[in-house]
Amino acid sequence: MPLSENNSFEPLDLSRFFEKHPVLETERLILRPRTMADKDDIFEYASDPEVTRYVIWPTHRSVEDTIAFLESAPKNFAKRESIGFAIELKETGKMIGDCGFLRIEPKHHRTEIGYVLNRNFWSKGYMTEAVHELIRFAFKEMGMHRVAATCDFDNVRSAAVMERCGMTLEGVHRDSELRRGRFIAKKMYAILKGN
Amino acid sequence: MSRIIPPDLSRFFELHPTLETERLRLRELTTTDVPDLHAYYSDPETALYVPFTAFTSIADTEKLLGRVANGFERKESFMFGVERKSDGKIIGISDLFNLSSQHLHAVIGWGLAKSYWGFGYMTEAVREVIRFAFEEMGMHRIEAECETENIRSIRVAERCGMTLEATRVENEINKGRFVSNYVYAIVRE
Repeated sequence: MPLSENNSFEPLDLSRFFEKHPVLETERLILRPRTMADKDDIFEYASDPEVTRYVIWPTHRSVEDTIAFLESAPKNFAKRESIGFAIELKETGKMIGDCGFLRIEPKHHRTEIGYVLNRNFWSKGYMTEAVHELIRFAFKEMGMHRVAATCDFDNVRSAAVMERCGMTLEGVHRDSELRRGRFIAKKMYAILKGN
Repeated sequence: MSRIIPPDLSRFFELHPTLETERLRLRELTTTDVPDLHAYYSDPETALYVPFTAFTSIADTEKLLGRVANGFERKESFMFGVERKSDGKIIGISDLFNLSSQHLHAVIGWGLAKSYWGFGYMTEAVREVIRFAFEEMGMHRIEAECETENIRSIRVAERCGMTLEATRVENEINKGRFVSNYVYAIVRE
């Protein structure tokens, strides 16, 4: 029985997703676990200040920063708190970005999505395609009830992805984060199962 | 732009702070407070809109005190006991958690035993904890989350100058149903 037909309020059993890292596929993309072989592709966008302007982590200064990220990221998966995916372009095999579930809360049947994309691949609908698939996977396969996402108030591209994926703006948190010496307001989006 | 220096919060965890208002003392909870605290934590009516089930045994309240002590020990959170000065009774609690010296924010929570509702005690206590977080700890943003049906808690947030920022629809499971949450916050001027 798919988990989505389970209407109980008991905590979700998500163990199978942590025993074997899921791999997802869309028309143009494969969402798969990151590997050390992705380090140069990741460094390409993680070192781009235009890309990292709106993310919480510091811009990578050298590939050593990228290696440190790749070494530390699996810890949260091991703790069953997050699942991260490399976004691979089927056509060329290039890793063009990253996305995943940042906070997985089986008790409340909810999770949060985050993402980042190499600037050379903006405006082609790739991120909308990836996030659509994450939302489908969360509802249909994990049995989630609610998927949330947040972005900086002035991150127009990210908000557009959320809106194209059917998410609703639930509010704005003022001065939510302190980044590079200034306070940032954040937009809070979410989508519920069946919407 | 003036540079923002991250506050060192560790000094607040050396000796538990004690705060005082006109009618209340906010202080560290001790094992002698267990009977008073249990009156609050065992009442199903006060537990209705908060994400715990009313405690059925005094041991649950003792365990809670243990968790509070751990949070303080690990320098992660405070829970103030709200003591009424006139008779020394612990009438409720207010806690500060998710403290971030990086982003200068924290989350505040509160709760009051039913027999003390309607006298403005909670507002008096929460105002003081917000003042402490801003003026003494150097925080910039204090957030609170409550269920959308929890009218009394909503009023406390509003009386303390907090603003409704977001409605998280069907955000939590509480007592066998999905409930929505309001996010209130106050930002330092």
